[in-house]
Amino acid sequence: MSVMNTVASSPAPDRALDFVPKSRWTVLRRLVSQPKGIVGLTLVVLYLLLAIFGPALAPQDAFRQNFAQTLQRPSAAHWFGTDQLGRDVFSRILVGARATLGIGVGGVSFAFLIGVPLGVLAAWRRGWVEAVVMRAIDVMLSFPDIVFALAVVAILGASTQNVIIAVGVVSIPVFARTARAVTLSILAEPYIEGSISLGASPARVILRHVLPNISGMLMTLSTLLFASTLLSASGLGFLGLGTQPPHPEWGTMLGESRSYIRSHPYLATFPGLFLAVSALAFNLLGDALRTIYDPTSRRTARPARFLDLLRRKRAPAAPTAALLPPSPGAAVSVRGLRMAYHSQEGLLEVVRGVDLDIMPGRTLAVVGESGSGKSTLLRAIGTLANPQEVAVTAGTIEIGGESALGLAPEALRDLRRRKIGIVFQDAANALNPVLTVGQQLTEAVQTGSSLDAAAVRQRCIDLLGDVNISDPERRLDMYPHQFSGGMKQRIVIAIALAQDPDVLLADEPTSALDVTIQQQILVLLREMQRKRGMAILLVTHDLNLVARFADDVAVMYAGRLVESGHVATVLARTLHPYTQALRASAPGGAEGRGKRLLTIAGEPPMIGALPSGCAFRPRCQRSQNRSQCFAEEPAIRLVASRQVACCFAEEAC
Amino acid sequence: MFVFKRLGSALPTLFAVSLLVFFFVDLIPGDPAQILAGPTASNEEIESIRKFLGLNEPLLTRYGQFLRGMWDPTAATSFRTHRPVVVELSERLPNTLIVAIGGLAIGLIVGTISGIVCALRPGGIADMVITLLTLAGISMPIYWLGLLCIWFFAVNLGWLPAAGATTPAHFVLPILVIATRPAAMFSRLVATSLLEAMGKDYLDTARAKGLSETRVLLFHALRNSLIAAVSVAGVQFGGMLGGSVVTETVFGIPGVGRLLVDAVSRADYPVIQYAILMFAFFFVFINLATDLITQWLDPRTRDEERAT
Repeated sequence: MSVMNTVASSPAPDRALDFVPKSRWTVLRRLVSQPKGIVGLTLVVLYLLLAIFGPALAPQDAFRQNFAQTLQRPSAAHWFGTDQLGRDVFSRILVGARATLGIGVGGVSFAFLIGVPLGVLAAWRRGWVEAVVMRAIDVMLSFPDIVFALAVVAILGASTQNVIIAVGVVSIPVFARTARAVTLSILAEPYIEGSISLGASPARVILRHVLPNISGMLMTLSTLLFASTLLSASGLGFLGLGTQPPHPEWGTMLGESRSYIRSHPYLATFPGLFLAVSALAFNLLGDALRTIYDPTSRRTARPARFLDLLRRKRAPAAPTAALLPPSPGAAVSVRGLRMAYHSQEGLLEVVRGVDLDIMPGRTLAVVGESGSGKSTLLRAIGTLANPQEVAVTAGTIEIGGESALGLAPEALRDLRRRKIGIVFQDAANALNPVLTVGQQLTEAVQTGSSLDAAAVRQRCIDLLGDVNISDPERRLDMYPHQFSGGMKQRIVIAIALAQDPDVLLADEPTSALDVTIQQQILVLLREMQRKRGMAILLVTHDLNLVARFADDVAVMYAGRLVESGHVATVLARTLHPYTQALRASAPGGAEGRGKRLLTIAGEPPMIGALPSGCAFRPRCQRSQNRSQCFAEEPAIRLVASRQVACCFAEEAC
Repeated sequence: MFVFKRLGSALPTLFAVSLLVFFFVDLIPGDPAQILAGPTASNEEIESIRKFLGLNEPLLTRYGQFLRGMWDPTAATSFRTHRPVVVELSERLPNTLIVAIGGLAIGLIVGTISGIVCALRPGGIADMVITLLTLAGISMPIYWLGLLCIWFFAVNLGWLPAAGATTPAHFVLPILVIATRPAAMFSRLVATSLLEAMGKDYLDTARAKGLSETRVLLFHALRNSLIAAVSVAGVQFGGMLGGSVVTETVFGIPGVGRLLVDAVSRADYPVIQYAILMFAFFFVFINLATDLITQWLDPRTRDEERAT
């Protein structure tokens, strides 16, 4: 029953709707594009053909007994040997396909025809109808499924038809529960609520909207249920309670072979093999269908990595321009950094040649739209870029004079421990929900230190005190969900500071907080920086925050730093058209007060499909289609005391 | 509070289950006494069977008698052996529990380890092999796997006994065979939930502390995944109790499952009723227990309970 539970418990249809393929052909195409789908579909078709034509294909009479030839080994005359009554096993398997698979089809249809209407009805009528249906489902699910099927057979007697009813009854609750869950969430969709309030008849809403939307889910469920129904039904046959002799059915044949397992094992081999492969076929097909209809199971849809390796293109050759040497004394020094995501189309470059330095005690703010590569850059500097997703293709990163790329695991841990602290945007995700704050802090304090337990605890208390959390002693034993958002972010900062890092990386640390708390967190960070002389890398999209808080600023667009320098210099007069556009679209900019906010024209750039020449060209108000903007990516030049990548930067001076 | 609420919802279910099992005899088409007595029986014989089954009593008396049979040996006896049903069941229960608990434990361990291996290198060779094995494990009819194992390990190699339940060695094959399904289920579950957890920021927070990847995985990611595994373990355990019907037949173990199958083929209605009732009660209690454990393991839901 658990196969079905995994389907039933994860309907997630609210998101599934976007994925539901429109036409049958799309389904088929997506199905055969997966190895699981093509193998499963082929086998299922073969089995169905076997069930239809099997009896006609049988070379010998499956019922004729021949006592001169009992229990023969497989041979040319009897491919799979003969059984204890001298009947040809191969012929019996071909003939038995119809009964075996027929029971599966019958059982699933029976359950479908009763369970789905019940589930839809419960979701539609709600109230007592739903209560009764759900209670009945609870009661039915209180019996292990094969035991329930046994009870039905005990009541009705052992026969093929009764086995169909037995395994069908067992699956009714699964269909009813899934149908109800999926229908409920579809009925909650705004467009359906709309048509109901406009007076559409219930039958029409269900036929037009509900059924088409839940059909994919139900098809998946039916396929997976078919496999388990087949196994339960044959299990009953195996116990001698299913199809009665002399009629062949694979489970019954297995049951008969049990007495001969010592002397004639091949008797059990072939029916078992056919049974196992048919269950496998339907499971494969069901899994493939699930990846189409249930986006929560995307993982299985991912093509195998070795195929990826074959397909993967080489990274675009990085320009071999000589890199500047890292600045001596810098806490962070990045040179010519290029990074690319692995994708089905090969490598997609997200960071395209970044140089930056952060001196100890200073704050560098990296500003840009979402998708500009700023978070990827931050993770790379924090040595936390997931190598399975994204690769550094060129360049160097140095933290406090040590290279942070290509380190052995032990050296990497040591670097993280001594030098790096990190603060994420959403503190709720940055803390482990099932560990106490004390456990998470202790872990940071203890790693690589030799303090005893009491000293560790004292240090944790001090850290919480440092970030202005009152009553730290008691708070250590609390779980993250017991704190407010601002407090959680303070705890994350405390963890980041626990090892006295040289560099603090903060990825939009305040954008999930409300304005008053934002201010407190920023003041706290600055205070910590002053006390400890840390370098801070702050990633944000908020220019006002940059103006108040950072020493240096770097504006990132499509993976490059298009304008960077001291905050005072850059913001006093912005030179790059993108920085100017950002400025104009930020609320409360010094010169923009009282003016209407502007949005930046055009679409943000598509990674992997950047325009030729300057990446900002299509949205640029300065370019006016000058040929230079098309010709080449503008070089980074020193103009008016800042680095800027625009061919016509001087026009803004 | 949650405990009482959950208990409160289990009680009506138990009551409904007992009613359903009680009416079992009345659901049989025709007269059960007639069926038991056979086509050639005289009216007196049928009447004595009716008396034995208590079919002539008023409904409420019969239900009271039925409930008493759960603990009172004199209230319900097997129609075939004339021994108290309670005794028949309790003699066999230990065998069934040994196989189910052993299988679940092995399945849990193997599944968790293979799930971790899959999640460590998604798309790698180990992941592909394990994914194929789990699919095979889910698709394998355990009665066939049991027969193959008997043939290979007991008949061919002679390492282990083929059938019976007299020595610990007799339990090795059944436990291993029955463990395949939970192993496959847990492997999938652990791999999926670990991969889901892999993208979480709190793992990066842990990594930034300089912890080893093993500790990040086992201490931070797996802890969250295992909470989900508990409820699946409950469902699996119930499934394995049900599966004992088949396993015990394959391996000739005198357990409750085997008793039930024999009772069904011999139409021993009292034994069928109480065996089914026992399975259902076990199932309800396991679900109850896993719900409570899951609730307690997750600090977030634990607190909600305290708050209400």
